Amino acid sequence: MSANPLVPEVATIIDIVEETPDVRTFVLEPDAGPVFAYRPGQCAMVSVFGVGEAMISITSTWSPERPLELSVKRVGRVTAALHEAEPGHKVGVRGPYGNSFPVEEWEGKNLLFVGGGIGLAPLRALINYCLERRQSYSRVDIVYGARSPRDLCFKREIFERWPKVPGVAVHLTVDAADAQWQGAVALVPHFLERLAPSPSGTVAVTCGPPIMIRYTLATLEKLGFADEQIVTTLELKMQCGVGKCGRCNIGPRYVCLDGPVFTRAQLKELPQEY
Amino acid sequence: MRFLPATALPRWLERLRGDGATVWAPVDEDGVVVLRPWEGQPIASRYVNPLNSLKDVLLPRTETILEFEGRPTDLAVREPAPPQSQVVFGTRPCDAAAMELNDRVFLEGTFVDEGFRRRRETTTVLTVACTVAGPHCFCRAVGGSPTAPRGSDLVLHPVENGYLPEAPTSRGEKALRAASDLVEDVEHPDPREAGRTVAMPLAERIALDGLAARLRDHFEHPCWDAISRRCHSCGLCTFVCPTCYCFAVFDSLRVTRGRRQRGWDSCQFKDFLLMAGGHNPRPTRKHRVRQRFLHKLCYFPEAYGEYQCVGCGRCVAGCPVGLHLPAVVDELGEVLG
Repeated sequence: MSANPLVPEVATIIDIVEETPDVRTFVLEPDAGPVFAYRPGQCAMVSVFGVGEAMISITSTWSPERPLELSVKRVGRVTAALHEAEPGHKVGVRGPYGNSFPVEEWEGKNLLFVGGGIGLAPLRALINYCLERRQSYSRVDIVYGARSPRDLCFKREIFERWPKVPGVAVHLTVDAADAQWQGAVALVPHFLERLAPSPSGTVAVTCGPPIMIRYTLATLEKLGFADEQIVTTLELKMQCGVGKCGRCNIGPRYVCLDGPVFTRAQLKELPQEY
Repeated sequence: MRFLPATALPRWLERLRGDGATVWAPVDEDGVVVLRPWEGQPIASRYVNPLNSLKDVLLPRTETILEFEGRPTDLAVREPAPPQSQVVFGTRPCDAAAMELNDRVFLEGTFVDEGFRRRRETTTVLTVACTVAGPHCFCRAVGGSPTAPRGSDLVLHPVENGYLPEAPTSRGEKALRAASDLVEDVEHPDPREAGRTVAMPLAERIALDGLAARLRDHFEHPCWDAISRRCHSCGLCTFVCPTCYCFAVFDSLRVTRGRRQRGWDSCQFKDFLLMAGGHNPRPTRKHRVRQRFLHKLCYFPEAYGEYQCVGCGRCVAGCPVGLHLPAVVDELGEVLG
């Protein structure tokens, strides 16, 4: 590995999973040596050489022999170039960056995950981490929504794997149904309000588009969740990922170093500039 | 006390250059004094501060991070050769101090910025102390002084016909050894004292006490609308500032080979934080101007215990609409009390 933190390792795309029409999961293996160790909530800077770099949350759960998985929505220049890539292509990867979910602090508690769209990517790393240590946590509720049924990510997990784990309930919703959809049709915050999970002994973790997070935070507050019980992740433009390029600050904090995971209590201390 | 005659200066720099180092010196280009790689041209002596600062030397405008070559399925990545050693002559105490502020950002914390570190460790800073302050200078208001040694390897105090050298670091002492046969011994009072009597009217006008706390408490104060309205978002203040360090990373590609570079960027530009998808957390000039001043006056002090400004005066001289740090501190002081 380079002494320069801005120089990525070269990695090979060993598999590409089509999650939705605009989300693909890239399975990567570094060419020289094992994947760096990482915790749920941390991110990696992925690069398409000649196009650029983008900070992407890691969606896999670390173990020494497991490849790195990044679920990427096609939004901008770099992500569009990634979507053009095929298995066998080389990309750059560096990391891990950012803090992580304080999973040790949550032991013994109920976990409520609230995700929207591609926001399930960082939550998937966290959910699988917690389910691999199922006995450490109490009840687990996964609330997840997307624009339409075909926009739901990680279909094998949300429909098959997770609901089978004892004490885990998966609650799915879509903004707009198609002909086959039998489930709920509601925006995530409204759906959550109807489910009315109890705040007692519970940590709520929410990731999704900014507008969804905003209304989800309001719903959680209405349900009686205190600011310290609500955890979310932030996303800001980044160029370096290592606290040097001067870009992703919110007041005195840098999302790449001090985030992306913040409690609502921590966010209330910062300027509303994200 | 050691004395280096002014006439010995070119010979000394020539020797330092002969050791394989790139030597930078202030040269007069059509009436503008600029730090340039020195190749024997006349060295300017009458200037307040060069147009560019040490930032040009230690954080180059563009720097290659890596080069790559190959096809998508078979790609080699190469890092550039480490930078050559450099000697900078004629920098001012404010600019030398600025690099210590940049040290905090680039060398401290979880990650060390390798590009900056390598340049920093192979660059010798030969500062010429100030005997006068320019109309835009205000180093004293932010903890500096016209003769302060901070960030310098050698401080050359100008006296009649030459300099009295003071070497705060062993790197500076080593550079001076190359002039050992040119240096004379003289009797002279401590030249550092001269810094105290340099008149600096602008510094007298700047009142920073307690401002940081008031700024934090009034993040949404309407004064930021009025202050930012005259900004053109040209970014000049950030580029000439020796302590502004924001950079962007960009790739270029020519068929099967290319490189990744970083280059100066500015928080004053509209697309600085624009994300793929269109979200922009600092979409207006108000957001961006506030960010610049709060970074210098609140966020940086919160992280490192000092202002991110050395009073070099380049923003004062350069801003086309007078939206420089002393003016803004003045306005904020009036509004926030």
